Amino acid sequence: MSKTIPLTRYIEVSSSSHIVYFFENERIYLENLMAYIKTGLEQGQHLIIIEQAEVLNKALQKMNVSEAGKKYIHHYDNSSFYRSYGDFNIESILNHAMDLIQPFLDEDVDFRTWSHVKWKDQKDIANKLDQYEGLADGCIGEVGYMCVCAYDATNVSAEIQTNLMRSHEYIMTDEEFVHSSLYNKKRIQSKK
Amino acid sequence: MKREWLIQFRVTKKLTQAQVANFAFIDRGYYSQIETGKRNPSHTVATNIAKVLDFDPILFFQNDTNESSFQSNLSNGEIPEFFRNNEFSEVLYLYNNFKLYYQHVISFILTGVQKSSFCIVIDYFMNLNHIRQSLQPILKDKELENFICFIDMEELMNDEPEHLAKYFHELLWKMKPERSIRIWLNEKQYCDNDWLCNIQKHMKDSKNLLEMKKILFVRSYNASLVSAVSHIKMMRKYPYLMTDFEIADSPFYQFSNSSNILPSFDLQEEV
Repeated sequence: MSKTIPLTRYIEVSSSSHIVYFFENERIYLENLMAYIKTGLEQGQHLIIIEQAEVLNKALQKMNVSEAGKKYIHHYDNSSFYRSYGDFNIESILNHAMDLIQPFLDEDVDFRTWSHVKWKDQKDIANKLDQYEGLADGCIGEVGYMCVCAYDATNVSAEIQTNLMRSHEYIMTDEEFVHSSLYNKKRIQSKK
Repeated sequence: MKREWLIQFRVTKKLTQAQVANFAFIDRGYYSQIETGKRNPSHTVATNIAKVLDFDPILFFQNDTNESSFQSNLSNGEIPEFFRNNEFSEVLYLYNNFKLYYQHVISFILTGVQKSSFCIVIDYFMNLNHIRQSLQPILKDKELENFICFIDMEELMNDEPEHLAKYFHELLWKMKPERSIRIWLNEKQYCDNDWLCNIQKHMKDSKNLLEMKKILFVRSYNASLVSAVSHIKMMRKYPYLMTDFEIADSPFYQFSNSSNILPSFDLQEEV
């Protein structure tokens, strides 16, 4: 059974929690990213942040993170990570993700991740995201770490959102944090 | 796979499995297996069952063909079960698959007719036609007339809110107070202050009437045409969330007694 750890100063969740964050407001997005980093650092965890460098730097500046603290923060550009210039290739993205987390697993070091998911408009993206997040959820449960997947709510359809609610145990908006009532409901083959 | 539609026929006719089997000259166990989908009826048996339950036997084979492609996706018939057991609630339904959409409207209506509820179906002309055609072999003309009111969404949108409010008020007023109502509403686009809000403003006089009534309301949208932002707003308003395959509590519903909504990370920091 996985242990519980503080998600924030006020909530404890399982150490292998998969959270989907639908953001609308960039300012609040930044505040949430900062709160997530802050609690991670307080827990002595490393942070893998998959986001634009500009956004992360802005957050770190606002937080006034010490040089020692910065050593715990590992940045990867989200456009390159999700190949937002081309095909959303599930296998390659998952392999890339494993490459990022493997050193932490080898060293038995606690970590949490935050990724701002991006993609280029393409055919069948709803199914690709559904498959990707379903596989990622399995991996998170197996490996045991905390992960926030952030999606721009203005750029996502309710169809994609519903699928994401099935593959993430928790859902966050700019205002709320809730348990997903669709999580782990029998996943059904709805593919054409 | 379970033949949910066949069960609906039988329940609507208020017959037991043993009675249907007896009238169709087959063993009850065999009939039960036909309902659960474990066995397929021969043409003669299908015809006999159809005679007993008063539907066109072709439906047996049409439904089997359709269902083999998508009914296996249904999670244990939890949606028909919900419609059977609830007479008073509000459900937000975001659909992806039109076949399943139609199946759920039919199930909504049939479980309503079974409870003698009055069903108001508001949808677009083509969809209403399809729903009507699907119901014709199942329900008698009298049942269609007495239990169901079909309203064309386009006509409704072009009408004045005052007039619509009056229309709905009269519709409710004519019904016996104890009679429950079901409303199925399908719309293309979501707007914050839409026509329904406008009607509600004009229905202040009907407030008491509405509160007295038991209403099961399903509001549906095509999931690919609604943004996540609108979806979140709607989930805050509706206690139940339905998809093509499942029905669950809406995680963002704001008026729940057992609400478990916490503030987002940054708001918690501000506490």
